[in-house]
Amino acid sequence: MIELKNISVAFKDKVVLDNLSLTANKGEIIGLAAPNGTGKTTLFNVMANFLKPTNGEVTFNDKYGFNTEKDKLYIHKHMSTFPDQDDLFDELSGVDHLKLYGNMWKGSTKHLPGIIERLKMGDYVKRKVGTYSLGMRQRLCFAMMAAADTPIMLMDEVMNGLDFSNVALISDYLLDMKKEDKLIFVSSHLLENLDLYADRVLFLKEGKIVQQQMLNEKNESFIKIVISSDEYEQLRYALPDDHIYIAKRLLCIPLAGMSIPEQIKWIERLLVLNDEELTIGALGTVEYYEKHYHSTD
Amino acid sequence: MLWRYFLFESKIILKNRKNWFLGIVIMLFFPLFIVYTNQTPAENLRDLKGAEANSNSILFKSYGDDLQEGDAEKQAMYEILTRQSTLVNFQRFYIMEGEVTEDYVANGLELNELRLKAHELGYPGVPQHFIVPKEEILKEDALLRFIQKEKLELDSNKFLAEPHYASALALLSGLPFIFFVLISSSEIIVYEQRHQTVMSGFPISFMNKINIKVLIHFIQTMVFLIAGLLFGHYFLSKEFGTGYLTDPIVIYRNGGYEAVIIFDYLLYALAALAAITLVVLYLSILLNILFKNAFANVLVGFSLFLVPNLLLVWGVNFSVFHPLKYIDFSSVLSGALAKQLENAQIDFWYSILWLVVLCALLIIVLFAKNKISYRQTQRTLSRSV
Repeated sequence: MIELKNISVAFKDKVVLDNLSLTANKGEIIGLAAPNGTGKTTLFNVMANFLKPTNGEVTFNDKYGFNTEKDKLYIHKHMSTFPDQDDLFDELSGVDHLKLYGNMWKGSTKHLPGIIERLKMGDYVKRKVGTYSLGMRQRLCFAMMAAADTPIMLMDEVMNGLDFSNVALISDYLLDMKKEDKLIFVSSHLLENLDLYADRVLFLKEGKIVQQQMLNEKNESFIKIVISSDEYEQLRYALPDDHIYIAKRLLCIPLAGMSIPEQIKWIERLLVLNDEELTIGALGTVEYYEKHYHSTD
Repeated sequence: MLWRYFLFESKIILKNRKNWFLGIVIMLFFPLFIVYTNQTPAENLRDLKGAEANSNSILFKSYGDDLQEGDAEKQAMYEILTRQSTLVNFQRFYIMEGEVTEDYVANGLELNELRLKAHELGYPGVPQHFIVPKEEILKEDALLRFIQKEKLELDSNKFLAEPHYASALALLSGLPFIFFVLISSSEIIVYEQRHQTVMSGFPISFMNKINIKVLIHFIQTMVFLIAGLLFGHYFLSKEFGTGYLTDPIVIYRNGGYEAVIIFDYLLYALAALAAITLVVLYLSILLNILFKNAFANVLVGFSLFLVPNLLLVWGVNFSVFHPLKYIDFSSVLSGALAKQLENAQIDFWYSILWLVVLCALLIIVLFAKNKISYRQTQRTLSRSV
């Protein structure tokens, strides 16, 4: 549905995206996990043609690029981007914003009452946006995306400023959108939340995708234990070469390639160090995030 | 979708306090100007002819003997001036008697013929300040012929409404109106920067988007102007009745002067203001795109229209800058611009034609700039690959 080929973006000497390639298809939710300033928003801006890449191209449905205005309009008819809550019009009401997005993309406003009800915005949506709290604004931004109802949605920092109940509300909505075969890109700092609805999570580092975590596939299992740096230093030379020590606290030893007795031996050995915080399982988004951005390895 | 976008942009502009403030200024401009000019003593026909008679009297007292005893040319001039003086005094008599129309007009036409004849003779022996300029004679001639043709009734207080609208529009005409439109449209594109993530992904073509923005600002400007004129009309009709709209006013057309009714004059002025508004709005779009700054829009736009005036002050008269002077529609309609730029062709339709050409040029530049931005991207990409 959308393909990015060898995308590079550089601002003077700073390379933000470096020869990045990616293919995404309908019915997918793709999470983007990376600290601030690592190129998530730049990637979204390139996908939406708000920023011209220094190199590379974006292709929509194998055919349309951003080379002509006609093609760009075709893509923009099928793609909407998450508004920043600071960019909303304070003097207009939430309904005005929803009508704008509904009319611009779907050509209708009939579906708006359903969105307002589902996102529990009925008690404030007719008021001026200038009176909204951060959470209200963020819900409105999401509602605008739902009003646009486009096949591709780029949602940057979608959960910003939301409380727990609203995060759950929007997560459910995202899952329903996926069922409608939409392709949704989501960047969020709520990493555990990404695991709930994303099909894969991309980790960006130094302008490249350093890992794609496939959440619907069976992933490699690890023995995971929280240990101190001193304990790690004592163990370090005895550990298997492919072990990971994340954020100076979490030691992960891959089970793949180990015999059952070997696995038991390592579990017994590690339990001595910490018998309360040892688990066995795949690495989650939080752990991969720490591995890529906080790891000492 | 375009209609919905139009409605959205309209809503934004209706919420814009700056534009409302400017609108109120324009709407109040005409009534306030009219109230102010009503309070200042105005010259009526009686005063006008009285002044002419006085001028003739001084001329005869000071230079009459010289002319009478001079050469043949001066004597001929003396004869003309004597006849002129008689005609003016008869006109004064008709005004006082209240029998104004036919004889007053016939005398006026003869008076103008004599004045033109005096111009042909070169006004020998008559100082410059006693000579009525040729343009004034032609204007009065056009006015009198209109009165004769339409069989208008005159009284000594007639034609006092005309200077109100003509003066108000003259005050607004040119740079003041340009300044108003430039301020009103200073953020026509730039305001989107504050709402970038909301506005930038709309599936609307660049040209459709800018045309809608221009249309909305155009409608708003015209509504304010028409409302201002209607308020002005309300005050004028209280003073003179609604009949003043059919009173004549002289405009320059086809290399000469002709009289039209005030209502037609207002239509000409509105048409010119509409064309000027469109030019300035498309210019604002271009300046917004180039400078991305509201202040730069006003400053650069205003300076651009100031250039021909500055050049003329320095004695430089480049015809290439003349179309920028056509924003001063009042001077175009009065014929003053044709005289100033020494181009007899400059009348209402000529200026409108050039304003349309300017507008078309700006649209072509905007269209080309948008097209080029896509080509440049392609070239950059192919080079880097």
